[in-house]
Amino acid sequence: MAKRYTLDELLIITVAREIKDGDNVILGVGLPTTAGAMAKALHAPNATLMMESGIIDIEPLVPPNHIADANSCRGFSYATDLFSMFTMTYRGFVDVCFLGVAQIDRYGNINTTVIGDYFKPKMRLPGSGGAPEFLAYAKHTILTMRGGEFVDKLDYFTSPGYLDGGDSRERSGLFPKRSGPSMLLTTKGVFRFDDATKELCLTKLHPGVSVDMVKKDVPWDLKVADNLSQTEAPTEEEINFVRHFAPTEVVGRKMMFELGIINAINKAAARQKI
Amino acid sequence: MAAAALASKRIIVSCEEIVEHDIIQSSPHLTIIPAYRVDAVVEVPWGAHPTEVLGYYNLDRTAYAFFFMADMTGDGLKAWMDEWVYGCQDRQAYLDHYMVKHGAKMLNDIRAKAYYSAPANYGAAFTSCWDNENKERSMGITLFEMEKILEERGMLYG
Repeated sequence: MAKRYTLDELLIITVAREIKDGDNVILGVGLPTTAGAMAKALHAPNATLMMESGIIDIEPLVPPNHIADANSCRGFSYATDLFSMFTMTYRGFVDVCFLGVAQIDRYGNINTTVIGDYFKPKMRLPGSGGAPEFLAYAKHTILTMRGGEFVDKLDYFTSPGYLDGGDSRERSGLFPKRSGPSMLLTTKGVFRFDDATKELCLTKLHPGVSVDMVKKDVPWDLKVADNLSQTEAPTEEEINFVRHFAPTEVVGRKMMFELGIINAINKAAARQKI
Repeated sequence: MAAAALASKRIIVSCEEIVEHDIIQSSPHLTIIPAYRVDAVVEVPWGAHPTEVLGYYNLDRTAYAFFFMADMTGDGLKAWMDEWVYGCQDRQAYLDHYMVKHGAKMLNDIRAKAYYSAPANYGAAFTSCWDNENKERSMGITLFEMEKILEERGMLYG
C-alpha cells in the first residue's frame, strides 16, 4: 500500500517536482524551501538554491527561519547581497521562483498589497517585496495560494502576470520572452496558463476535490483542461524526505505551536517549575 | 573586477587551482563569481605570470624588465612576442622556455609563503530538526509519534 501523506506534503512535493536539475532557484521561507531541499536531495542535485538576501548555493539541512538564515545550512558557495540578487534577476539568471498570493485574477496578475481600498484597507498585506521583479523577470514563477482568493479585478495590482491575456504581456515590451507565471497551486488543485489565451486553466485536482468545489471559488467561467487528472501522489521516498527535513511544515503551524507548548510545559514540569 | 566580470555576457575563468566544493562552501564571503555565471574554467598554474596572484606568486620584476627593455624598439617588441608568445605553443611551453632561459630558482624566489586568513565560523547549533534522542526539537516527539498524531487527526490522504 502506498504511503499516506498530508495535504501540506502533497503541496510541497508537487512544487518540488517543478524544479529541474541545473535550475537557479530563489526560495522563500516555508513551503518553497522544503520543496527546494527535496528537489536538490532527490532529483535535481545540480540545482542552485538561493535566498534573496544573497545566500547562494545552499543545501538546507533544516528549514530556515527567515530569508537570511545561514543557520539552516552548513556553509554555502557565494555570500552576496540583495542588490546583486536583483541585478541577476533582471539579467535573467533566475529559472524558478515562488510567490505566495492573496488575490489572483484570470490572467495570473497578483495582489499582495492590500485587500479593500488602499487608503481604507480591510486588510493590509506584506506588500510587494521582490514579487514584481520575480514575476517580471524569472523564467518560471510558481504561485501558491492558501487562503487567498480568485477575483475578477484585483484590489491592488502588485505584480504582473499575463496582463489582459493573449499576447498582451509580450506586446507590452516590458518583460523577457517566455517569462511569467507558470503554475498556480492551491489547496484544491493545480492550474496552468492556457497557451493562447493565457487564462488560468485547472489541470489537476487534489484527492477528494471535485471540479465544482474548485469552480465555486472562481468568479469567472473557469477553463478546465481536457486531460484533467488527479495530482500525482507523492512517493514514499519524497514523503520520508519531507517528514525528516521539515516535520514542523508537515504538521502545520497550528499543530507545531500546540505540540511545542505542550513540550515546553512538560519540560518545565520535569524541572519541577510547575 | 568582480563587477566587470558579472556585467559581461560570458565568463571564462583562468585559475591557479581547482579545489573541492566544500572549500568554497566553507568560505562563501571569498567567492566573487557564482558558479552559474561561469561558462568555462581553465586550470593554469602560473597563469598570470609575469604579473602576480596573491597567495601563489609575486610579480616577476626580472621578466618585466626584459619586456620593457624589448618594448623600447619596434623590432625588439616583435622579437619578444616571437619568443614568449608566438614561440610558445601553450602555457607549459612558455614555462619550460622560462626555465631554460632563467632557471627554476627565479620562479621559486617569487613563490608565495603562506599567510592564511583566519577561518570564518559558519557553524550552526544543529544540522537536523531531530535531536540525539530522535525527537523533533520544538515539538519533542519522535517521527513515529508524529505520524500517529497525523493519523489520529485524520490528516492523511491516499
